[in-house]
Amino acid sequence: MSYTAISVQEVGKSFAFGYDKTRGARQALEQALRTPFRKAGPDPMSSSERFWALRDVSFEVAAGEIVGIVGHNGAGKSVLLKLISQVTSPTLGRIEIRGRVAPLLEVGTGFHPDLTGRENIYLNGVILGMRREEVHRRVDEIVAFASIGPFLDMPIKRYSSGMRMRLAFAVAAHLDRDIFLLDEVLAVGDRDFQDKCLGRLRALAADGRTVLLVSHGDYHIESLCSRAVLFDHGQLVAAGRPAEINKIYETMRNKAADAPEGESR
Amino acid sequence: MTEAVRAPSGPYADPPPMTVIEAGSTADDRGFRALWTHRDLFYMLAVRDVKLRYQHTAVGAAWALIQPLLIMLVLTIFATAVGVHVGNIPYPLYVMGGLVPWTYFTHAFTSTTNSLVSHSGIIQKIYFPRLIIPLAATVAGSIDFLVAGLLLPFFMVAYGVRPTLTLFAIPAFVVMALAAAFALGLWLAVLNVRYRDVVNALPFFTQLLFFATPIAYSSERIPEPWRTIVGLNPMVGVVDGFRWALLGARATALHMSTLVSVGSIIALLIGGLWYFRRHEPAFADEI
Repeated sequence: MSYTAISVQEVGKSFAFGYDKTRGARQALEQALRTPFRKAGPDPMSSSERFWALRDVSFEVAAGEIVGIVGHNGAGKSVLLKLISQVTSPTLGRIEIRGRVAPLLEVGTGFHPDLTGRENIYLNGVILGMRREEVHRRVDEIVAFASIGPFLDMPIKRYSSGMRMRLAFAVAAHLDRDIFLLDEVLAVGDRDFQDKCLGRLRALAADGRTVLLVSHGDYHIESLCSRAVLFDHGQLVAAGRPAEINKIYETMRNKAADAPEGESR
Repeated sequence: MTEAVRAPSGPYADPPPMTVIEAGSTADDRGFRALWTHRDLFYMLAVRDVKLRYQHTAVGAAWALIQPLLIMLVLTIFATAVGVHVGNIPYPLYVMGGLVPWTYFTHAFTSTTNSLVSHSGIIQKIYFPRLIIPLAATVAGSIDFLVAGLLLPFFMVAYGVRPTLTLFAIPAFVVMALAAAFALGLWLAVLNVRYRDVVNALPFFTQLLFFATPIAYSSERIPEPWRTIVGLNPMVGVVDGFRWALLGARATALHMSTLVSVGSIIALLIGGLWYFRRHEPAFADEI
């Protein structure tokens, strides 16, 4: 029996331009100093001036799906994942989630260069929400997946970036969660390891877990995802089969590349 | 926008419980119980801090000894020159009784203040009760308390000062020092997220606090009602209390000001927790 794992309903997220609060304090001070000389004009950076990183986004994902999220830089993909992982809250709308969400993962969040691979597995695992004994149970599996065996007790600052990345993915992919969010982690690492990662993600999905995958890499989206959604300037502009979405995205990119002058005006 | 999706073949018989995320809603486990469920994270962060604290230093944990020893030396020279009176306890020992809690306090207070900003990476990526971070910083600093505390028995033997029954009160004042560092650090950690001015103000602030705290001098020399009023500085109660516990009433009698400090710490702590909770949801956006 399947169910809706993620339901995003008319979600919007806005940020104030600049360092709103700092600016506020400094401006108050500046204004107080200037007032005798100059009348304060309208403030161009007032907090009413907001940037919408996401605007009116709605879609649903069923449990067991792997859904690709495609779009240019700053289209709002990462913000969406941050909302789903509850790192930040939406300005408008509502998100319903069934199941526990694994944190948004990027390469080695919370890794410390001076700690050994083993110590970092424990630290990172716990940061990602595992209990210590849970990490302990899985540590062999994680080490095997990352294939860093001989370097396990060496500080990770001596690791190659590929090894560090493999370790990070291995820890995160062994979390016991219902929903996984991935932000372009697969872009790093050699082809062999990428295939290993894809295999792991497919296994998670076959197990009824849900994966949201942010990616620029057409290869991953098409070979892995059952569906994809396309974002442009904070809005969800298309949803459908990965091949179609990639085609639309390609056209969109070409159009943007063809008309750089028109855009700058 | 939702379209028909293929039916996945999952092993779930029942869908797991639903979480609703809305504007202004915070993660459902942001309460104090969440601290308990995330206790492993607290433990790992504290252990990491202790492990890394002296890793790249030549003399290692000896730093925790060198600092109070050198300050004591300078203060002793100064006190001899100007003629400071602290009763019938030898001055170096008297100063040491104040420096041990003080050294812990400055370190823990500083690292608590910087804790949120220095963990901006994981704060922006991962949700967990943020209070864990300053809490781990405060507690990890107490390793300094232990190391510097090792000096005290030697000093007491060297000067032939015997401990009294008040020694059993030491843990209470250690806890008080932790609470003071945590409470003050909490306020500044949140402020530091928004205004990095805090980093610049911090050394200056701790220096002021050093002179405002009876470490190099005896609070018994402060006339009333000021002696009670200075108790508002949490460290007055910590230092006087620790010294009383260590050296007995010969050094300093317990005074009303210690109680004032306890009240001050409790007020700072409650206010700090409230302030922290109020700004916690915005940390990821603002840091």
